[in-house]
Amino acid sequence: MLQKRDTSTLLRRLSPGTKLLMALAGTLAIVFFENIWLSIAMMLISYVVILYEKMGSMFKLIFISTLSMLVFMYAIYGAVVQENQKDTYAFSVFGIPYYQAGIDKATHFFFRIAPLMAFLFLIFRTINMTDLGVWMTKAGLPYRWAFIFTDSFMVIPVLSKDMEQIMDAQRARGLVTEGNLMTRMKAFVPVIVPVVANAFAKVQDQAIAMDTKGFNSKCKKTVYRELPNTTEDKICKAISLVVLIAAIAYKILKSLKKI
Amino acid sequence: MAMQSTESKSRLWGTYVAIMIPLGVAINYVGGLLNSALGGPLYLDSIGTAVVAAVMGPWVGAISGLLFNVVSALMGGNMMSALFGICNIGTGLIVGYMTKWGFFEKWWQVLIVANVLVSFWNAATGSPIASVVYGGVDGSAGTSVSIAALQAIGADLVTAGFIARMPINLIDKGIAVLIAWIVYKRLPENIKNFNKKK
Repeated sequence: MLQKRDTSTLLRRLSPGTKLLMALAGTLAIVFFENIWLSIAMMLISYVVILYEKMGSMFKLIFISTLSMLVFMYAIYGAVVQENQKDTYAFSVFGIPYYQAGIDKATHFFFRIAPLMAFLFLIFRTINMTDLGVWMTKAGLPYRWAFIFTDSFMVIPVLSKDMEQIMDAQRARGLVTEGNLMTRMKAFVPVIVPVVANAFAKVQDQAIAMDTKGFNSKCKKTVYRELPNTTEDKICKAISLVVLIAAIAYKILKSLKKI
Repeated sequence: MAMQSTESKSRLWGTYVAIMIPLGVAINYVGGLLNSALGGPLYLDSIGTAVVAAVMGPWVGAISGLLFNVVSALMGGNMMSALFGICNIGTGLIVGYMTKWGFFEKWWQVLIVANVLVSFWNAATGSPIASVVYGGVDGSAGTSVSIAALQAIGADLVTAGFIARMPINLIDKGIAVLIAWIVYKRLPENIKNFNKKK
């Protein structure tokens, strides 16, 4: 379970514990402050850092789904959601009236989800899974659970690679993966069934290998990987804690004011 | 593959669980990825939950389903979407218990009973969750347009979400449980019997 640690940028040098705290603080800040400018700032900063970290191609799919969410939310809520029956529309596009209440609802949901999609992508895609497993074990989580959680992230790229290879092999045998919807959907089964069957074929050997390496042993598991707590970690943790406390305090005060 | 004794299998149960849960997560993820790569309009991200539930039992399947939504929420950055794990828990429990009780053997049991139950659960729970997370519209073209049309004719958001999701789920979960069944049928007996003997 050892991987080389990438320390090329500040974000990659931070320990998993710091990043988890940052993720929690960022999430609560967006959800509790409900401030559109904060959301826009978080989104823009995250996009810049994603490009700086050269993760643009990985983020492409999430960016496309963010854009489709933007279009659908504004198009549908704007046209459907009204304050009341007498609500007059704010503007119309191709004869379809758009209401202010719908635009407000779309803004509320979109700017709660979109910034976090970029921010959390950045945080979790730069976490070293070996370090995360070690951190979880040291934090007191049973080794088995830490293994299951981190292994979930590790198996995905392996299986994705298998899928690509099987798809190429099936294409070489004449499988058509392009064309109309039915043709493309027909290609799904001949690819996914071998992927799943292959993965299951390896399970028994993997179980025996893990058992012989002491996975089932009752004694306490030890780790020999150190997680450095650098000055950068301490600063980021302190900032995250301040944001976290401020967000919770703001939410409590806001609720009290409403009462 | 060598056959294992019952004692060794029972000793390895925990190890199998630790392997199968992440495997279910990864199969779900790859299913969704393949669907996107082929440009399909469905989700197809519950095959892993169904296979793991059939092989390892309802609760292992349910945990695998829940963990998939947590992992994909973390990877996709949409933390609130982890709530959709409730849908996947139901998928795991339904397929797992059907297999345990011997109702996951024939194609019609899979396509009619399992599919309808899983689809109903997913549409019934998915609709209120989508209204909490996205306000009802989740960016999926087919569902979003259907919801808008139903709302325009007077249906409330949750009802519109349920009606719009049901036919899509019947196709999506139908494919998922059918693939799970095909794979399950092809597995060696010693792996298949985990669910039945536990």
